[in-house]
Amino acid sequence: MKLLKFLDERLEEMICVFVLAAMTLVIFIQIIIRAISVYVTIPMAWTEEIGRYLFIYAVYVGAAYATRRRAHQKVDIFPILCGDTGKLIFNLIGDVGVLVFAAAMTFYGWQTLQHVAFDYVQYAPATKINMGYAYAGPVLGMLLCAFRSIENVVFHIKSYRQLCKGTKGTEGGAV
Amino acid sequence: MGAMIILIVFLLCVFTSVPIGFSIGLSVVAYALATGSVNMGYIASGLFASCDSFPLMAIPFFILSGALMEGGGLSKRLVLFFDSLVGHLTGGLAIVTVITCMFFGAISGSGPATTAAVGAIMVPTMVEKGYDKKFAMALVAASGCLGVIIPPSIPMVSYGISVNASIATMFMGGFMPGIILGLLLIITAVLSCKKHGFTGNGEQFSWAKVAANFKDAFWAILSPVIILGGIYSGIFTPTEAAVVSVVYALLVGLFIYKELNLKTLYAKFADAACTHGTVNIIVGTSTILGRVLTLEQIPDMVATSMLSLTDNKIVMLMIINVLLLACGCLLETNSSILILAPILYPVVANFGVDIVHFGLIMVVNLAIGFITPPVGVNLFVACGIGNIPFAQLVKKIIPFLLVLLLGLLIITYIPAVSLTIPRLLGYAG
Amino acid sequence: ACGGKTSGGDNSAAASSGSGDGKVYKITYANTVADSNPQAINAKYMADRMKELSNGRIEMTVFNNNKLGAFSDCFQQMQQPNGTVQMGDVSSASVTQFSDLYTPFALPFLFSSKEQSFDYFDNGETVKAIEDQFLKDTNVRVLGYFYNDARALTNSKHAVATPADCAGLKLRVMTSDVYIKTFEALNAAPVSMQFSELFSALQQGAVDGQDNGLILSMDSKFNEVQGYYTDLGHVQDTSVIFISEAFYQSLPEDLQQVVVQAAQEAVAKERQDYADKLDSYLDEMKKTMDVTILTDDQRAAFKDACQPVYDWYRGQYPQYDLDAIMADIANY
Ligand code: NA
Ligand code: NA
Repeated sequence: MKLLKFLDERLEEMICVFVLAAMTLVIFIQIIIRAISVYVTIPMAWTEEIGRYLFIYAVYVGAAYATRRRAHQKVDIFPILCGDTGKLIFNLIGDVGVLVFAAAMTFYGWQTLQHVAFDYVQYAPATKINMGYAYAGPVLGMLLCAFRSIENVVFHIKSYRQLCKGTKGTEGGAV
Repeated sequence: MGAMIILIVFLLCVFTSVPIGFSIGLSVVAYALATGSVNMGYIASGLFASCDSFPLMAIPFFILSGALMEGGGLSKRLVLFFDSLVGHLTGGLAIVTVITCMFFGAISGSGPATTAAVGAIMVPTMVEKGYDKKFAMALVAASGCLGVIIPPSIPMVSYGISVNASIATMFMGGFMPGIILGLLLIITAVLSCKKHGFTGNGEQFSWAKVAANFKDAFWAILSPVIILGGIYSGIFTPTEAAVVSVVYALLVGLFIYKELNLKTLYAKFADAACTHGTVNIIVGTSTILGRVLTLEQIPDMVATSMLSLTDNKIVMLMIINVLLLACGCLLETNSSILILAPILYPVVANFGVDIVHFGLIMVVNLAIGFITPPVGVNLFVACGIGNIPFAQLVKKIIPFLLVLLLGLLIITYIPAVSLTIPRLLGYAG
Repeated sequence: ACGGKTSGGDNSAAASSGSGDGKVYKITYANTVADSNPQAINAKYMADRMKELSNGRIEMTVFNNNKLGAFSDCFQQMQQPNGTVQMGDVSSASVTQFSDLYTPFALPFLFSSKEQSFDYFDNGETVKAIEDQFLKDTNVRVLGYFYNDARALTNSKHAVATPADCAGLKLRVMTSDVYIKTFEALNAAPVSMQFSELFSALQQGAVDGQDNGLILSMDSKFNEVQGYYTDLGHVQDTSVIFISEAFYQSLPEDLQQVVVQAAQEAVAKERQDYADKLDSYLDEMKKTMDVTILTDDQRAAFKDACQPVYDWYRGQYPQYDLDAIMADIANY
């Protein structure tokens, strides 16, 4: 249980921090290798490739992390004009929108993943790793996005109930 | 038909608080389901393919380096240095704000990040010295636009990728427009300060203090030299330069200024990852939308109908500016660039407009979009810093908005502003 | 804009009757080159020919310049029924992501001339075997080979006429293990870099040179920032024309013939266009750069210096019978 709670709080954050740090390291190595390439020959195309695939994870797991922190950019004209209840309803719709897209992309992304990883195996040009590992980035990220948006929906409904009872729901509790 | 579905679903989603990146994605999904002319797998694999790009990787690093420079005490030292230089003048703190934004812009690639980093320090300082809070916030929001005009710049990265222009050349081109807009903002701010009687920091100017602050800020001042120098001398690609700036900020923050420790470092990485997630999901879905529009041959149709409007270059550029400003009010900067650049560049290319020059017109235009309501990210950030209702801030932004529009006209109709530095450095366009 | 969709439903009936039923088959064609490139121009020509030969029953729309996304993405669409893309072409060096079958053709100095490569690719027995295997592996059919220029060398340091001249040159090379091995064999320092950043890297001296074809080098204005050109010709590059097998099989037989014929005509015209263009480009190149045209002996010296690449290749890809391919090529 403790582990689950920890993962619920930290999973995307830890993945993202690790991925960003790894990207920094890999590209820094690339710069060093090119600087010394005249003197020694070290294969270097792998740094760019690994960096790119890490970046894919950073984008989509990052999107899930931003969903959890409710940090995504949105147009808040109507919520600003509406009262607390209206705001909650808009937040609810917003998260349902995230859920629909993320769920669809998880499903079809999984099919694409199977296509490149198993049916017609693709290998990365420089590192020769199975491209399935790279395509797994968006699938994992969208799956987490879907999960976080469900959490947010539940949170909004709870806040709405509390609002009806007269006690104000706290906004952005997860931040 | 297809285009209508996309537009309607997009607007419906955007105005019901669905995040922008997801609204774009949903509009494409709706299009695929309704017309059956795009495979859903093409959309899903598009999430991968649209981000499988080395130049695009500059974005998280420019976000991260901004966060580290702020957390590592570099931005604070820049403020102190410029304050010792010009802070004693009338409206001195306003000048300090603009100059620090320009300087921070030379480190960071993001407008909101520049607003946040400089605003967090300057708004409280200005209020303390008797400046109007709303004025201070509006100034910071407007100056934050310089963050994407002065290189490095995330929107320039997006533009370079979407029309295949050299990002390094775009970066060279951004310098002069950034400085001109900075000067215009300084003049406006100082005039306004004179009118309202906002004085200087109340301290005497002293070379000794300048020297002391310069020494303290030396490593912060050096960082743009390393980053931009590295790009211009061709030692690094823009993405690599962004990584160098991260490593540099890390080293200075950890070992020289010693304001970073492992815990704050983790927090800064996490913040940057979150910001990056919000930025690049938009890049990802916008790129997919761009491809779907291409399949529908909408860019060609738009180009043909725009070309039928006028054959006058000046008029065409004016039409495009108005269109971009309207988009800038509502759309997010990166998605506007990724969707519109491939549509509009072929139109202006007909008139012989240079690819880098047009890139700067677009970037400046959409940078102004950071401070145009209703979707003005810099305004949101400034509101967050100053705790003032959005509507009140909007009133104060108008003079700055007007002067930035004047700058836009200069940049649009005098190509030399954008192209002189690239040409001096060997650009052949 | 999706052929798979329009052709769905009763395509079995259409295929068996083999005659026109008034249905229009739509093809989306993707490539990676600029609009002005002979490949792009002749992809459009292929579309026109298809329309004429089929009396308007095939409508092909060409999207140049990666407009529909990276080629790997488009290729994936061709691999499935009802994909968004049905046809396209890409340099054989970029095919490696889907299959290693085309890696032999990246080997240095495999062909002695572009004419030899044309004859081999059009008629070679081993190339037919490769196409059959490729179809089995990827579910994508090969329709033919556009010419994609001979790779040449430009640099900013000095004229290159012997293998020794390459030593120490920092050269931007495509991400392909065979290309990298080639320049390592010549003792150059191959580095990888995005094509979009190459111009400014050459200009600022971050890399000394690059190895694209004459036309691409000139169109990218590399001659303005590079001093020396050598017509090295280490690779006679081709661009492979693909069609989705699922889509191809959904076509009535007569339209399959149309597609094949239009592709052949486009290939012939593209190769001619390339030849016409190359001469004028070389004249222009001579005005702006120091041009070295290698003699047969000089080229042979390069070929000898590159022999280690062949040894490496045999070890790396033992599954392909390189000797059979080379013997086949020698027939032309
Ligand atoms: Na900047
Ligand atoms: Na705006």
